Amino acid sequence: MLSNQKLQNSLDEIKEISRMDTALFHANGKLAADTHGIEINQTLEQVVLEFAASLAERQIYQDYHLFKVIVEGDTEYILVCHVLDDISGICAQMAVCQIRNLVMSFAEQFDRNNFIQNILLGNMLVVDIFSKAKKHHIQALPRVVFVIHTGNKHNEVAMELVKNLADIQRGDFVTSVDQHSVVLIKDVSHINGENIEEELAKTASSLADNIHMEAMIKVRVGYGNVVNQLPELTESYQEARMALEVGRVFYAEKDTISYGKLGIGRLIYQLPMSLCSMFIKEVFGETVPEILDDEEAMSTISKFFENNLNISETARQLYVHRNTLVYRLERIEKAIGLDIRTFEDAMTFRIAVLVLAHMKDNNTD
Amino acid sequence: MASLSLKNICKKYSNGFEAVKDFNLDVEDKEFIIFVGPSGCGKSTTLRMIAGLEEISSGELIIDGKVMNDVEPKDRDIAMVFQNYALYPHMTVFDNMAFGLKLRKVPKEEIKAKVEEAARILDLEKLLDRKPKALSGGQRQRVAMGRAIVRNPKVFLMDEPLSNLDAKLRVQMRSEIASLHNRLGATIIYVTHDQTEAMTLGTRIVVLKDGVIMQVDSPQKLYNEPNNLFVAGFIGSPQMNFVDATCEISGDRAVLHFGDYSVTLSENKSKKLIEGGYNGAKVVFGIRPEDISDNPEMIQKNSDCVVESDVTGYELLGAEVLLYYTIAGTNMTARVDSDTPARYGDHIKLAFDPAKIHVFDKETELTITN
Repeated sequence: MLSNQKLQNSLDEIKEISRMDTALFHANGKLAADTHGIEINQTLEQVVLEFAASLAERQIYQDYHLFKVIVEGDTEYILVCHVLDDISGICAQMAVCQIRNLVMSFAEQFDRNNFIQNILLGNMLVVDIFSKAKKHHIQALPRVVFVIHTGNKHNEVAMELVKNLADIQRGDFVTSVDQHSVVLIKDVSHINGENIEEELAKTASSLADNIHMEAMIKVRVGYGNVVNQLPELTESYQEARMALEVGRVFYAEKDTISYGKLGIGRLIYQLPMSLCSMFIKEVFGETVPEILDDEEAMSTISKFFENNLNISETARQLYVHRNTLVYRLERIEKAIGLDIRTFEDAMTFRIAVLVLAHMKDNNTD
Repeated sequence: MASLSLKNICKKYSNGFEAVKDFNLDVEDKEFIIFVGPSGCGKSTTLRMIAGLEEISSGELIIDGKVMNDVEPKDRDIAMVFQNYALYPHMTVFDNMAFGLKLRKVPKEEIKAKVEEAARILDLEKLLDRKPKALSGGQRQRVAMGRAIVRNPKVFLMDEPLSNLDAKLRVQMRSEIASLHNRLGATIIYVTHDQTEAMTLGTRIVVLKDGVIMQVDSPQKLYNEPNNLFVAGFIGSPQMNFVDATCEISGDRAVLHFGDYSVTLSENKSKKLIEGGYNGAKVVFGIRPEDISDNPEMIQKNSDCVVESDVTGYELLGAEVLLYYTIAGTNMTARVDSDTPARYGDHIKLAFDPAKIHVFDKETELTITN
């Protein structure tokens, strides 16, 4: 239902333009909003109730003109206006028109929103999706679902920000299916296929940075793959959620996570715990080496992997001498029993670290 | 504006990754502090902890004498400017700057006054009715700054705000940010990976590596007196030349041997090596490219510090030339005057300025003498 605050804002604006006092009642006689210039008493409420039940569309009571706001055959509201002359009479009719359009547009928006939410959650039959999409003039376009995880609070502010960043006119949708996230369905038909990954990453970073900057809310953004048909939005949405979940475990320091870039994390996330334990025992034996908690060792390893096991390049990027790096790698080899300078051991170690992160997350849950 | 204090701040993620370790820093009121370091060094994470966008795992964040660890980000009176800013495409410049205040339900009159004041400071007064599409890159960046300024915060946090701009615009915006700092008299913490940006903007620079502070100092001190090998290599472009050397003490002088060459250090510098017991020890000899000369007078004057090599690369930069060559198997660079006769393939003599030689401990990588 349209919020009383929105109605109040409309009445205030109407008063600002026409200087006419108004009061808006629900069809059951309850006051929704007013400009404080009309005395609301039991008599007036009674008059409103009787008018609502009558067949008349307009009625005069003392200095007040009463109008019905009828939407699709149903009386939604009664507008009471303090009409003093012909001009204010015209203004009153325009106000009725304005409120009717507001209600209709909200209903339509509400319906579209419901439709999109149901697609995301997979609550609709494919055949219904196409027929409803036609009714709402929603075209099948290449789209991507972004899920903006806001934690436990501030969803409304994030929603407002995302709505303003989205290009609704082009074909973007902004909605929410729970209290912890905002969903942006982005039309990407205008983006060149070659640049799509880069552009999606930019959009995700921009969403995160803007919410951080404007609302000072910590958010994480996950996004799925591009889909071309409306029923496929469910998949893109599930992928975005999965990206957030897997990202939380394996890439906790990142604000934006693409489903398409989860890499091996996506596979490991789906491994059963028993298999994980067996693998870790196989690699490290009974005890996990303490060096895995050593920040310098771990950042050296990470940089070494980033540089495809190239010692000279890693040493350059770490601003250390080549021999210092070799010494560190030898120390690591002693501690973990794996020579990460060889591809096989490097791969085993990388997988083992991810499996450990998965096991740790599972224990926390 | 405000003063900040970070005491033993640490950040450890749930997956065990420790992004920031025992971070201690006091920021004075109206100071322009730069966090600089390679990617992944923890500079942005620290900034986000100050903003409240990342939880502090341990330690204390104090702003104006109050512990802020558990204060909501929006209540910390801090404004942030990020790299990936986006203006609201359907709003005018005025509305873009006002939007954050509207969300906070600030009265209309107050919003108007704040936006107009920010527009005046940023020279955006004539553009307030324009939409973002009609703005240049620099103007858009100023609007993004304006969104932070209207909040009149105690502290500004800027996370690589110029990274998305092209090189020319970045230089222009750099000077605009510097003058903005002077006009606002604001406390600013600025994150960048670009050491030129750090050197030109900051009153003090915090150099970070692997989540640990390497050095906090003025730009000049960082350049002239680096604490360790990392800072020496990170600050300065082209970076400082490093050569592995062996130290030999001869009387009251220390001599560094590398390949076929030896360099005798000044009495002052030698004293540090003698006192540290470095006789026979492996050290790292460091010299900045601009402290190497091919000028015959300098070669004659500093005959104790002369090397010879073939020029393997020649780059004319306009006012100066970069010469590339190899000494003791290490690639080195010299920045010399553009009127040098040296060219690619020439065999040349080069002299190190003995007063500008740095020596580092090979094991600890700490500076022995600057």
